[in-house]
Amino acid sequence: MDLKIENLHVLYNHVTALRGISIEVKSGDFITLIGSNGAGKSTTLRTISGLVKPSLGTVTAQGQRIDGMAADEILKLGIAQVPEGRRIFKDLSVIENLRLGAFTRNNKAEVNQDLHRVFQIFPKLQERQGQHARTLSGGEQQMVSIARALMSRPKLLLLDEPSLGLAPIIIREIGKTLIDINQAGVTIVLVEQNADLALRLARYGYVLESGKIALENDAEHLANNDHVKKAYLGI
Amino acid sequence: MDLLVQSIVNGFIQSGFFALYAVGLVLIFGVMGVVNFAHGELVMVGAYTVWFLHAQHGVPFLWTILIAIVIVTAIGMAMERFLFRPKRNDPLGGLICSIGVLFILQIAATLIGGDGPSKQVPPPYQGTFVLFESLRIPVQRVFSIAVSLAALVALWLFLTRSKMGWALRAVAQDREASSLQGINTNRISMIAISIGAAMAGLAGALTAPLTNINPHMGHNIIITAFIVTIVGGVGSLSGAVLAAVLYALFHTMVTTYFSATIATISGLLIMVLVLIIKPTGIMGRSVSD
Ligand SMILES: Nc1ncnc2c1ncn2[C@@H]1O[C@H](COP(=O)(O)OP(=O)(O)OP(=O)(O)O)[C@@H](O)[C@H]1O
Ligand SMILES: [Mg+2]
Repeated sequence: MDLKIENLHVLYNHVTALRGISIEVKSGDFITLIGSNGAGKSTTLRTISGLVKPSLGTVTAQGQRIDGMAADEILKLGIAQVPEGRRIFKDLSVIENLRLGAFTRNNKAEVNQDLHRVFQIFPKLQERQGQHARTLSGGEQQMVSIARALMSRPKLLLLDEPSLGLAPIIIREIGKTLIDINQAGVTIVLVEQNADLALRLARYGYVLESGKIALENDAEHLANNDHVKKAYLGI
Repeated sequence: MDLLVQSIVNGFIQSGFFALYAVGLVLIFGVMGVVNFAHGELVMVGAYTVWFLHAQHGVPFLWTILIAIVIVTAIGMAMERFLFRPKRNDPLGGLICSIGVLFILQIAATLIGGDGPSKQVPPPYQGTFVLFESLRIPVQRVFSIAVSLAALVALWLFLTRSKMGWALRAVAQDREASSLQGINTNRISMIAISIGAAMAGLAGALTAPLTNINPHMGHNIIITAFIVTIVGGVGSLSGAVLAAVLYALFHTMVTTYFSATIATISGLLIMVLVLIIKPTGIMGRSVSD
């Protein structure tokens, strides 16, 4: 799914979170937004998803203006988000969480097929499908969050720090999964503080600093940029 | 001994009403974040409907139960649409609006029925079951507990077996994350208040032949609903039902051996103790359990 963000400004009461960012994503692409705490990464994703309304600027998906649309309507266009902090339904079972990801879909056979597919990606979740989500480990909960987003069959997947708090081995697993999903045709926008991981996975990257885009380039180039190395890769 | 058994049975029958009151309050609070102070008045409107249509105008009792449910549900839906939705991000505003509705409904009841003595509805189902020679259970009460139980089971099935039920529990847990799943949270709020109000209307209709009907009857009901909800764990439906059973038994016992006033005062004390010692209640988590 093509996504175009132009001159986006977001205000929270009196705090300016975004001051005019423009991002363009082509269908099938894998891009990343990196930046430090408070740079505006989550705000960007939340605005795309319709949780936050911009004070200025536009968001266009597949040629259609979506800023101003309600979040549930935006999901129906094929834009799903794995939100910051997982936000799974902890008092519901794993399977209920996953089926809620497919809330807007009516074809039962297709939903069951996708359920089968996410269970192949995350076999752990199949074992634990009847358990309350709160009884899962942090990594498993992150898997639920990603699997839930996949259950809507998104064309564009937004992920907000999926690696946060996870063991390196699980991060690697999730990274592989994202590449598979992208190769299956899903456009991905990945927000990460783990810049090293993000720049290895994505094709193109944006560096956000205090609500503005400080740098953008192919991920490989960004990874070799002196400023990025110093500020985000710790080299 | 007979008195003890009799009051246990009466307590169980009473618990159906308590559960219906509390479940609606919990649903509305869980999904919409509003403490509905007018909940007792919704029950009162249900009771008035039966008094007015059945006792005054001879409409068959079963019909008036349905009509009571429809009227009270409509009031609930209007509250959501015109008060709670505009005040969605302002829980205090929603609460104050609900207090306004409380007064409006009390005044409406006074206008319709006058401010004289409490009204009575003669029980449509006469007769008494006698068990073990001395245990007496009026047919009217058996009817009310059977219908209450059926309503609670239907609600439980809806919440655990249907997609809309899951969505409702999801919205109660995380409104924003629910909207990210494509759930229209305004629609779910409407469903939640409809169910809560329908339960209140049903409770009011069922209780009409068993109680004194007056414009202020909602007062005791909301106190009961608060005690049950808080003891059960604010937001927990199964907790509310369990607490309804326990509190109804307790309340009936104390009423039998002492007085209703002492029963209510001790109930409030228990509520305060729960708030101090275990604020999450006996089950407390969320609408989902
Ligand atoms: N609900 C809110 N109300 C007020 N200010 C907010 C709100 N949400 C975010 N902000 C502010 O907006 C700015 C951007 O926040 P945002 O969450 O987008 O940052 P981020 O890049 O995702 O940071 P992190 O890496 O810590 O998650 C911050 O200065 C933050 O304090
Ligand atoms: Mg963030």
